Amino acid sequence: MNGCRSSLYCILPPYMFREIVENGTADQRQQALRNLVSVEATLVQRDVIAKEGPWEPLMEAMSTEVNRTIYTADNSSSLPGRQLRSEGGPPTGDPAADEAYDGAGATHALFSEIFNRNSIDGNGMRLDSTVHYRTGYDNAFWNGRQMIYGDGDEDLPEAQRLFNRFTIAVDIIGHELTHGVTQHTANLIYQGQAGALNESMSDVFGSLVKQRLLGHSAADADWIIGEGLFTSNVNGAGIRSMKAPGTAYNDPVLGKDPQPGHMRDYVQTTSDNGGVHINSGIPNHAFHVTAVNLGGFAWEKAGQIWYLTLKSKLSETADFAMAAAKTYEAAGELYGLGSLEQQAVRAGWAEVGINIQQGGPDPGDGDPGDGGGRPGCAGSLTGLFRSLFGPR
Amino acid sequence: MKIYFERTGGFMGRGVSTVIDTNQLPPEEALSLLEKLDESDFFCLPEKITTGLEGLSGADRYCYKVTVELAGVQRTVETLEGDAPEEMQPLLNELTHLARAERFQP
Repeated sequence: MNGCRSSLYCILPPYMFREIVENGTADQRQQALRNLVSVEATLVQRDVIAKEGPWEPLMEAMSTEVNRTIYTADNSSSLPGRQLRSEGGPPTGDPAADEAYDGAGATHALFSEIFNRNSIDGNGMRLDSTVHYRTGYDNAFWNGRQMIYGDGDEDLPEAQRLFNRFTIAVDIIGHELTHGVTQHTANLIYQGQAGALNESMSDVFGSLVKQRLLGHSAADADWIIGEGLFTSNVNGAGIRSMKAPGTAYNDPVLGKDPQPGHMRDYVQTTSDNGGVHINSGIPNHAFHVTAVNLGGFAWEKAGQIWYLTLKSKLSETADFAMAAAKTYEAAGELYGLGSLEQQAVRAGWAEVGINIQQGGPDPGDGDPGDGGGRPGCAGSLTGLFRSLFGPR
Repeated sequence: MKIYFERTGGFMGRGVSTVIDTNQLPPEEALSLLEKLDESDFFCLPEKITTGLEGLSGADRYCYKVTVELAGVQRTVETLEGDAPEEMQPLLNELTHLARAERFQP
């Protein structure tokens, strides 16, 4: 027998259906014709899917759909404000509104497609953003329910403007949305080291949103948070640098980037909830080093390790040492105990002065060569790792 | 009257601050500030205003701290972005504007 195009025909061969059509009763002929049409339609459907991919309705049923709503506060402090754009709506022509829409979409896509998370709460929560919040508002924030963005220094004379609108940098949008993810997962308290971890998680995933949009590997990325936020009046690349904390800006008006990149420079302060935006430089740099050492795209392995840690392993009061221990544990679960990935995490934290040892983490005493009493151990771990992976 | 104003926190974690002596201001500016202070019913406000959103603290919010000295009486009010009553917003806006502009003064 030839011409058996598919197992559907082969269950009841075509010639049998033809016999029934020619020789059967009216009812039998009707049923046979219906079966033939049904089989043919199924075969056509298979051909289409093979050529073009799943049909739209099927894809929608399988995907985690984003649901965005953009509002404007019309330069007041009322929230959420007046609706400008809902999901699927056309661009408004308002740059802040359209950037908030696109950035929320890119962030949702990162969490959905890479980390299998459906929106902020893991359950398809609507993403609400308000732009044009107040006047001369040089900030963006998460209020516990939504993202809010200011327009920067539009109220000041041009020569005095330091900030553009806060939707201009997609990693800022990713940063704010990630605060929502943290709230619905580890819920790190916004104080001290837990607060700095909270801030760092937002910088990590905000940076991954940007790197993924640009197609940058960990080696190619600039690791700057908020690039483009400063006006040309400011001497600075961005708000923070995960690659080199403390170097993002140095400006006569704004001052110098205060972030440390190592535990020896940890800032003890009561300001800024205990320096949550300052000391976040330390875990930021640990992630950067880990990602670069692992190579490839930062979301592939380092991002998976950090997301698993955030989602399932951190308590509300976790400190840096605990984060180090838990990312190490997560790497072991994902890639195996003693794996190169696990060793990369150890090297990343060692680079910032936090040493992960058997039996518990050692926060270190700030000596860059400290390895729990073994001088040079932290540095040699990183060097060993780089020699194993080589330049990327 | 003296007003000590400090704004901390925010996305950058950098603060702005200013000290205002209304006796040193042009009369119109001093009057504007005093009117906003009056509208806010400042001396009846609680020391810490943290209504929050169902107990949610949010992140990257500015924290505002205003201290007013008048006729030997001093009062300090602290609040987070979004928690201040509507009547206090004009005062915060004005103080923030003055503090930001002061960055460029020699």
